[in-house]
Amino acid sequence: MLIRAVFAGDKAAYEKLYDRYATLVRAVCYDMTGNLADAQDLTQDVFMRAYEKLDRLRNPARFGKWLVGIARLRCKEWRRQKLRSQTRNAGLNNAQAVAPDPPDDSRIEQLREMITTLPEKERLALHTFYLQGNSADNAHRIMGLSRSGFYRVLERARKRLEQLLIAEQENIR
Amino acid sequence: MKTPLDNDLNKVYESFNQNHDHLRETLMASLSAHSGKRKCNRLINLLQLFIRGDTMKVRITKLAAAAVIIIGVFVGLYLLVGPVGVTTVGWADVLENIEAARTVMYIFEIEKGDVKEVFKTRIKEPYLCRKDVIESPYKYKVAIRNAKSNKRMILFPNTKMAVINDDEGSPGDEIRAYERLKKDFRDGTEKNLGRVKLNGRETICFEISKENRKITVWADPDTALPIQIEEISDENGNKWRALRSDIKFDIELDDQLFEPPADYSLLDLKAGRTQTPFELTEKHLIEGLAVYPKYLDGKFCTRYMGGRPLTEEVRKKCKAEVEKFEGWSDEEGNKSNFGCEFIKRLPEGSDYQYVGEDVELGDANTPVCWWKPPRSKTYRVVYGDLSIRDVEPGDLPEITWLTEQK
Repeated sequence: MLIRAVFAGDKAAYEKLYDRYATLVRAVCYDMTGNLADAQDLTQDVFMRAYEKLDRLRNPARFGKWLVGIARLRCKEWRRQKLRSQTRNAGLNNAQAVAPDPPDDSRIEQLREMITTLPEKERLALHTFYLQGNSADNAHRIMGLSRSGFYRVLERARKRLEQLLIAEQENIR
Repeated sequence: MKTPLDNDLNKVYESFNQNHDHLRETLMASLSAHSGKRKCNRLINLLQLFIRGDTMKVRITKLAAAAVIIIGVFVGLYLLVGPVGVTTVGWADVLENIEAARTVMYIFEIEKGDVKEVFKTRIKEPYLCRKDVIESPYKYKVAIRNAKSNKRMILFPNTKMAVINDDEGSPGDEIRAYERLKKDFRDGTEKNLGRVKLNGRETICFEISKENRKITVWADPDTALPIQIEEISDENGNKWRALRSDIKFDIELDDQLFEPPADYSLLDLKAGRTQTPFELTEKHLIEGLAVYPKYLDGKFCTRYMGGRPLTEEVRKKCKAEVEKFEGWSDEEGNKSNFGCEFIKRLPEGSDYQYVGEDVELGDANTPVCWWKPPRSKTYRVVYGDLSIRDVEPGDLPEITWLTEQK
């Protein structure tokens, strides 16, 4: 419905799509950038690009999956651009440009970093689930999985995180 | 019920909501500028109409004016709305997607001469592959390959039988074919053919030319994911065409897909053993024996897990019989297997003997085979009418070749 409304020129409908998916796209971009500011910029690009290419979306029900695909591609471009610029500025100290966001809560920050170490599929399962109101209703469609398949991946991700947290605590002791 | 990990994860994801309202407003403002770009496109169309009009009759003047206006419009557009969107999908993006995928599923069509086969193919990297037959002149329905254990398994759903054999890496091996394809993709010979419509869908197309093969890849211009891959080969007159379509990457492929279902029997050709999910009984032996008379003019076969010693004459006779079994069904093959397996599982000392050579089906007085069950004083004897009777050892019929053998 929302996609059709956007086609009909209803910008408010696109705002609703943004509200529904922007956090997910930010999380996907964060996996690649490792900092929130760049992830936010990339998310804006992704939504611009999606708006321009919306007429190519064949199945509106797959908007979420399509959008994540665009986000992945945009992130790869970003990485290439960054590599080129790092090569050009090899002599400069650009540490400031890649500095991570200051940690707010160390445990939460630690968990956020741990998520970036998970396999891509498990990361996406966490993103979709926790950013879609702790529900698998839309999350499994975004990932193109059956509901049971989605829960399996999510469970794997959670188990892996738990193991990482335990290992981290043991290191601290 | 939320766990502490759930609560922490919710906190992690809250951070992605920072500045959301502000970012939304910025985006919507940018989209308004985008609408301006669409208006500019309309302006270009109007200008084109003007150029084509009657006011400019001299060709050179028309061209010069067109060039100036178009450059002006593009410079204006660039200043107003930034670079006009051009595709940024390159071969590296497509290749990266292919390389990064851990699973892939596609419809695979292979045409070679007059034979066409169509499969639903699923590959779980790095060593599992399953092909479900959609169209094939051959009998099997599902083929599974495990390149790690080097085993190939063919499933026959109608008889619930899985036949396992060592994999010698046949030319039809899809894991190997897919790996070779990826290797070809990496060799840097691709040509970008630009935007191409595929079944009405916008794609970006690449071509890889090998010595005797041409590979064409159609990819989604937005996500760089391959949509279709075509291979055409003509090697020393050996022509074939392979088409991989409806390609899906990184879908969930359960390991169970690459295992035989729990209710299937497994025939291991190398070990010569059959595992069954049920107990084998005398009934299975009777069914196994009963398959043969249909193909041997109403008589039982020469040897069945035993029988007359394998002389040259017996060997020839058995070979001639095997040729008559060509037309038997999967069900009949299964029955014969289960009968054989029943005999293989008889404990040591069972003294199994097959004496059914040339015995006619229905002959209630002539034995076909016998064995002694564990702890039994009598033998179980199967007769030509497929009845089973208990017989004292001394009452077993005398068979000339058997007596000579003893």
